[in-house]
Amino acid sequence: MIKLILTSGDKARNVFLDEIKHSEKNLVSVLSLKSFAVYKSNLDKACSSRNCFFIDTVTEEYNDNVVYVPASNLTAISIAINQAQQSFSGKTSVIFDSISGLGVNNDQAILMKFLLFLIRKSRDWGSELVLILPEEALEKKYVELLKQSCDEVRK
Amino acid sequence: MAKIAIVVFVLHLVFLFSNVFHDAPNLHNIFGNVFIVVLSSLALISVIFVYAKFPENFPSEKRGNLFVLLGMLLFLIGDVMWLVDEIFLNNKIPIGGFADLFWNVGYVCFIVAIIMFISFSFRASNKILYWLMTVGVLIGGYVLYSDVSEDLELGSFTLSHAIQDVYILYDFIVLILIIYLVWPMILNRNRLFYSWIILAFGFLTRVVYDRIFANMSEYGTYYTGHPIDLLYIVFYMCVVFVSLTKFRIMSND
Repeated sequence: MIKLILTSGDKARNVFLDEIKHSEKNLVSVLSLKSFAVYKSNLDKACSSRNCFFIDTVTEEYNDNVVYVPASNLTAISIAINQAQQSFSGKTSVIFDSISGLGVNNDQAILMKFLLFLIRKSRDWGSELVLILPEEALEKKYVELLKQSCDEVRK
Repeated sequence: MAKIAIVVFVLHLVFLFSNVFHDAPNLHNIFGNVFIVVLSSLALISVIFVYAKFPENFPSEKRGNLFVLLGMLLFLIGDVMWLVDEIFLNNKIPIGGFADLFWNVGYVCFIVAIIMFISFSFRASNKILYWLMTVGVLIGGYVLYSDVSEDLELGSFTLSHAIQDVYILYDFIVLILIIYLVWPMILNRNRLFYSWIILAFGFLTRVVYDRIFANMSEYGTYYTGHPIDLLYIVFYMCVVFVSLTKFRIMSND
């Protein structure tokens, strides 16, 4: 299942935390809006009884379930998402806290290619992919393309 | 598995640098070959473990692992053939024999595996690959040309020399693909990437070994159990550690 959630910038954080609560037992999350440290108390609580792995693209944070990958290195992010999922058995949710953080560090056309690559791969992996997108973060043509590529679009 | 490999590796290291069988070249030859076959077998077993545990929903990486497994199997057969040739058939440095046949096909398997590994990651454009290929073909072509032309000039272009020249081609292809594979990960000290960087390092040692081996065998200075074999066994150790790292990731350890 590929979900696109359109929201406003100020609501993105709450939407993200809400999605984590309702995600699968295994979770891989890419943090591009705020660092792990900012979310820490919420995420620790949400992950107390499940397997979580975070890819922080904002600040260099390393611990048992957090690694840092720069937001500009989309190739490394794709590899990290792939490898992190292999540490879990069973169904996994891959959730981006927001796509806008990656949009700041990458050309929008390349970011779009990256997202379409992930959508395709998520279908192969059999994992749930949740993309949270503040509507103003991407050009309209890209938002439309994303809408067409996802299984479910929510506002 | 890793502990056994480390013990064998250390014993081999002591053997390579201590000259313990200085007065018994036959025994030196036997031990030099046996250590390599044991390490090669351990590397193959570790790859089999990883392949068996690998999840089915990562098809390109799983297929890549299958080709690594095949490559390791062919390399082991090549090592055994070399041992049989040297110890039982008494052919010293049997270049151009069955061992080379298996190593050649093994190399092709590794090249296919690396291509599959590349395909599981996102690449914004293939410009870097084209750039690397151009540089690789130019340098590889130049090295190949100078080697072959030198052999032809000296009238020493034989089957064994031709086989050594083919390895140059493999080495440059592997080198380009490995750089392309690990380039985005190399500056990131991220434990999810360790296995790839160790694998790349292993292939690099193999490439360096091939070049040195080619020169040494041409001038008749190589013998099994020469300290240069260290590079050869480092490749197998890297494969064992890659397998261990992958196994740990998959076991969430």
